[in-house]
Amino acid sequence: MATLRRRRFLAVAAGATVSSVPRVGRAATGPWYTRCHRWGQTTASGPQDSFDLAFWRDQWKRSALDGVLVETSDQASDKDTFGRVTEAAHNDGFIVLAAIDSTSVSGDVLKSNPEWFARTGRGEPIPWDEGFAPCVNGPYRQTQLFGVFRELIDKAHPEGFAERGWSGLGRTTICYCENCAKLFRDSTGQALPLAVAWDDPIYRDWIRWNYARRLQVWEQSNQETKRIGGPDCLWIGMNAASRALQSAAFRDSHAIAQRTPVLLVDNQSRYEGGSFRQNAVEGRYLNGLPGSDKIVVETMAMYQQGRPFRRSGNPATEAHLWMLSGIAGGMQPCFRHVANRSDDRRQYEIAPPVFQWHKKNERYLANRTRIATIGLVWSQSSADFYGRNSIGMLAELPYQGMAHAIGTTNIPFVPIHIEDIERNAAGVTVLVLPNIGGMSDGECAAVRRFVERGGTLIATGVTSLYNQDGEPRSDFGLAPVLGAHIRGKVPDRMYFVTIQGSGSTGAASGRSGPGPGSLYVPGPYGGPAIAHTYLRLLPELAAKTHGPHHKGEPSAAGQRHAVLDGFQNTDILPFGGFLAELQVDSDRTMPCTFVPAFPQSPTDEIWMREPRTNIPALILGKYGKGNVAFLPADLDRRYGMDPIPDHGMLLRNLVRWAAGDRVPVSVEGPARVGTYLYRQENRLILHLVNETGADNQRALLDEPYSVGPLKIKVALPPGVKGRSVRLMVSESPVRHQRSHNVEFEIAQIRQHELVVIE
Amino acid sequence: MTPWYERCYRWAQTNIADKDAERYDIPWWREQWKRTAVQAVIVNCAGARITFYPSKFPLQRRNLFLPDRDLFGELATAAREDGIAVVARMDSGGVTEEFRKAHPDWLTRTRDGNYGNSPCINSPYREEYVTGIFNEAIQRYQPDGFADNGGLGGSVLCFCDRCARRFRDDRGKTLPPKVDFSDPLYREWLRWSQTRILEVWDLNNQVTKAGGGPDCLYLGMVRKFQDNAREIARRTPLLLMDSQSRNDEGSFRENADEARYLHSLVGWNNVVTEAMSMTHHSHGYFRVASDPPAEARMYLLSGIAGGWQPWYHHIAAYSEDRRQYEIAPPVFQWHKKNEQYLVNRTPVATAGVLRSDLSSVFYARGAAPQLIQTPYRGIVHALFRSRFPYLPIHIGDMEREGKNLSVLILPNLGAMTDAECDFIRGFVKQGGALFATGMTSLYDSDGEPRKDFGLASVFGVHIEGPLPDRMSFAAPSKETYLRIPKGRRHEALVGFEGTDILPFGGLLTGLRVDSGRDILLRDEQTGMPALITGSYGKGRFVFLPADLDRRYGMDPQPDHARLLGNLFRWAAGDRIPFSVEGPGYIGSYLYRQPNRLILHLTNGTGTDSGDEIMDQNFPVGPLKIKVKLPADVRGGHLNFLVAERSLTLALRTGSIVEFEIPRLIDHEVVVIE
Repeated sequence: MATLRRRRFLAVAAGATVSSVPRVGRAATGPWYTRCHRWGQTTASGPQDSFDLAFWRDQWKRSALDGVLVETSDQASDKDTFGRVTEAAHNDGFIVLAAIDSTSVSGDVLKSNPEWFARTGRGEPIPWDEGFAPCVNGPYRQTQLFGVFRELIDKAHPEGFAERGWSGLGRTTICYCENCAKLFRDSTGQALPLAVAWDDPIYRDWIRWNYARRLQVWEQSNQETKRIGGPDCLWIGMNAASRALQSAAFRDSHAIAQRTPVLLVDNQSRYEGGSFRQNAVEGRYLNGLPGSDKIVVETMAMYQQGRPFRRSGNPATEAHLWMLSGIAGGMQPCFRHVANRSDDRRQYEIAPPVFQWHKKNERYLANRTRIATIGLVWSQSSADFYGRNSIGMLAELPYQGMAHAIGTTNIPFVPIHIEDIERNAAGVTVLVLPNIGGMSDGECAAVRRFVERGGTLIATGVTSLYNQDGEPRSDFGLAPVLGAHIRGKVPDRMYFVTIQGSGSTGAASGRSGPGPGSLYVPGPYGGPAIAHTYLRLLPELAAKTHGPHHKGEPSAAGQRHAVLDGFQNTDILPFGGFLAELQVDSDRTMPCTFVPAFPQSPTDEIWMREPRTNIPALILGKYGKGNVAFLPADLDRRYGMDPIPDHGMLLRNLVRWAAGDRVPVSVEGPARVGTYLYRQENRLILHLVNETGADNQRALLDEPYSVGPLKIKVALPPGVKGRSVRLMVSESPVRHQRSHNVEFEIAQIRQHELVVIE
Repeated sequence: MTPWYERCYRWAQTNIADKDAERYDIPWWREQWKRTAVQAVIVNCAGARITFYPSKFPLQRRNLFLPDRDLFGELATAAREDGIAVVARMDSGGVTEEFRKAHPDWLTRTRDGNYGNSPCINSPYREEYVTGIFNEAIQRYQPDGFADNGGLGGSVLCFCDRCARRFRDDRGKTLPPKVDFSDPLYREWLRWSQTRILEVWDLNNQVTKAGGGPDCLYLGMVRKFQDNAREIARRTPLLLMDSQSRNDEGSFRENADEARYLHSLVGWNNVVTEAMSMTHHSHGYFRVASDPPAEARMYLLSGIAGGWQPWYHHIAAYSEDRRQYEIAPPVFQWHKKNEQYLVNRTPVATAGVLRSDLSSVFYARGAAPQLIQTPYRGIVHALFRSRFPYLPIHIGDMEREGKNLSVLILPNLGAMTDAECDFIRGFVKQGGALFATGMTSLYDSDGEPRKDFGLASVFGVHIEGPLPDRMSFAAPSKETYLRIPKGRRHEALVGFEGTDILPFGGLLTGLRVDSGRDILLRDEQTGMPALITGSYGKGRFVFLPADLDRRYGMDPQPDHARLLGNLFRWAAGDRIPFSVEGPGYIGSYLYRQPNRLILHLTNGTGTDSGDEIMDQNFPVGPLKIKVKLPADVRGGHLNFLVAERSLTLALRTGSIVEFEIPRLIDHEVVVIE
């Protein structure tokens, strides 16, 4: 059985459930997956003598683990090591999950088992990673992988399995093997699509069929491990936290969450543009998916993931803040070492203090309810069918920009899957739809009802302009709610970032500037070009503000809306994008309009050619009992790409206006602090994560910058008395004032604080 | 009377857009000059595209809206009435299509005869046309001097007849066929071309002084990493720099560095001033929107800490975004109030980080960003993170500046002349410390490889086998490590007790080390020495063939900062004049005036370390400061110029004064007397 590539075969260990192996030191109540909160992952592959079992047993113990993920391979020596490691882990009272990686299969078996492999249209196997891609629809899983599961269960009795690569090829590679062709025909009556082409209904059917197939894989794998290993022997596929990656691999977290009591998330570090804040937000999202009593475990790198130095320890400050952000968001931590020994031993000192603290405060870190004012909506269907080949630009960036802007208000929010709007488990009063371009009629109806009943809506970009297939509607699906209508032709879906008249995003080509008459400059970090466009704020106040004046200034009359607070000294804001004309209902107001591009250079050319238009950038009004803000300007996307302070300020103003006085917590003081509020019966739990000087850089974090004092105010819900306020990190006493709120001051936060209010 | 260029410490510039002819609110701007206490204004006068007064030159385009308005004249008169010096802004770099059609023979030519877009430096454009405009402007307005936004040209290998003739007359040779640094003829052309640029600079000054008097200077403009800045500094008493924001590939701390560098070139009692944008110059150039006020303010403050005389810049005379008009006044008023501490002072530092135009041009051979600037930026960033007092200086000034410095740092200065190598050898022999990285001294003054390092005798390190490719360091990072050899560890490895390896990313080959030198790190894969220390004469040296300075400049690894910081301190021994303790991303700059020390502190915490535009300050503190007092400073009295408090009972131990800053918001200046 030499089909799995050596380095690709993992096994995971976590508090034992095999009946013959009693757990030590912990009350064993309920199945293992309801009570394992701290995990560690390392590999049992490699030379037999390389695994220093005594060291790892001690490391598991000093990290207060409940479970261990043990990577192994199907080499005989590695299986022996795996058996030895698992036995030791079980003896020490740890659960063990066998972790395997099925991303690719060695080409050695191409001839003997050709039917295992995915095929191109010409029937050729598809090189993948260091071997070839197996097809998830072929007999590979049943005949080969399931055999591996059986062998490992027989040999070492792991409590379950974790599998990386289980979802197979993604949506940009159509497999034309016989199995795919047959199953697709059986399911849809159609032949496989000829190419990746979102306009082709057959391709869209193929996408949906693939999602369904992945759920079948999930279910079949569990049936098999449970059949052999007993009812608690779970099979758990690894998922990514990045929604774009999930889309690319046909993994629907929302549907998967309904099929497992444990989610394993491979989201090891800030690498690839993530942020500490995002890690907490991902935790909040995954914990809110249906079946909310599940455990969400995240692997966290103790090594330098994403940089070339996999043997070097991740800088402790960087790794700690990543772990603490995840924990604040509800992730249960799983440390990961990429090898079982390294000459950089600093990496073994990273997890223990955090895990010890986690153990000590475990009761506050699981089994709790998220409290939030705002629901930030995510739609995987929109990302797929509206976002198509540009999920990052059309779906992920607006979502991340909005998450960043809301996060910096300290108003608690949770991401909500669009299918859960009606359920509204967190009881939010504001919904934010960040350019959810593709919406079904049913989803539009759910949002309409939410607003009709008094909820507030913030929608951006082209939200609801496309249907569930990502095909354009003739008008916004939410037109009556938004109070805006398409005039003429629906703009191209890349309109926001396309240099008008060029068809290009201008990132790498086109007229760059500043140069003679340039209307735009290349965006930073390889992003799309930034056009020299502005937003005009109404009413204009220049005639009465301090600055140079001229005769053409309109008289400053009227009051500005609260969403423009803080902008009293300006009539314009930088924009950078493009806007199309819209028909706006008469009961709506337009506090911002679009100023088209004019040259950025040379000096003499810098004057607005068309200073005023009626093209709306922001539309405010009411629908039913609810308030509505529609922001056609893609400030959320822009803030996600490159935070411009004015964009953040306008987004935060919108959020504050939408939240009104329904804000359960406030944090005052010069700091960037992630604020995450939870409830457990008669107590509130508030995590504060110090992101100051951390989340604004790509570089590795080398030191924390303490902040404080911070003034905190938390509203007491019925049932929480607020008689005691305890700081579970600094463990320093804190004096508080109590009315319908508790108010207190935290003198200093180094990396995080956990406040328990009872 | 002191000439204007020695007494103007606060500057203003408001550019003129075509539309401004209709709407330039001169009374308002006079008021703004007053509330910012500016002493010099830069006013758009003429460029090859356009003239802001009714010019007699027919190819100079007039204003689109009010072609006959003499806006330059009105502004110059207003400024004069307000006692403000007037510098006429030229923009002689680019020409219009109309101009190109009228004078194709003035344009640069490619080898196959095609016209370029810009006039040739050897055409009458420079010697007749532009000087004609100078004379016209002088005749009409008598400005105090001229700034010039565009370069003077001359950097492109031009094949026009005038270039061919002039090169032949001057050097007796035909033009080189192409850009090829390995061709001695091309290198000769390059040196000739550099000379021509300076000759035009001199010509411009002759013209402006002849017409406008001895103080009517042509000031041009210098830019960051410009390779003739030192030569220009020898020709002018005042340097103007265009580096308007962090968007120009910079940081707040590098803004302070640039001021210190230019002062080191032109002298610490001379004025160096830099255009700092009040309009959105960060990530997108939103020309008429305000730069985020916190960002622009911090850029001003960090620049002042480094010694810039501040110069605020608006891109047009009118904007509905009024926030930009409120950024400069408080800073400029504070500057005026404390002016005596902000000029005519000399820096106190331990290390000099050397810059070399020779290396930038002849060693880097078109790859200066990768081979020269990134190592330099990595080194100064690591120095900053170590809070180690340093000063960027030109290698040509090391003899003068070296007298006041204990450590000289040479970040991958690949090309060095024999004389430069001699000086460094002498410096170390006499007790100075040397810190050199990468390929320092491996190439000669032409950028041609030597057989061994020019500083081999100091390093005790020699090339063995083939020379490494000069671009080898610029390759993408690989998974390689540096290994700490077994045995007793050197004190510069403190803090690495938990590891035997450090991230590297490159690969070292072909080095041999003399006995008597300490090898602190080796390339794990090749075993080659990666870090060597030892003594030479009375001095210490650190030689780091591994390009950790470049790597820190590309993607800062905390391990690299720690190692570099350890090495700086080891090299300096106890010759460090002050320390700042407490968490934060803090800039600290110490200066001397007779009987006093002046310490600037800037707070870039949460902002300057990152990629985002700044929108707020993150205060830090308390910070513990210790300063060594020179003999003429008693140190009993501290004056905090930002907090506006004084302290007379500072703790003093021997020659060390010790005090605390409880909270640093954006900046503080402490005067110790």
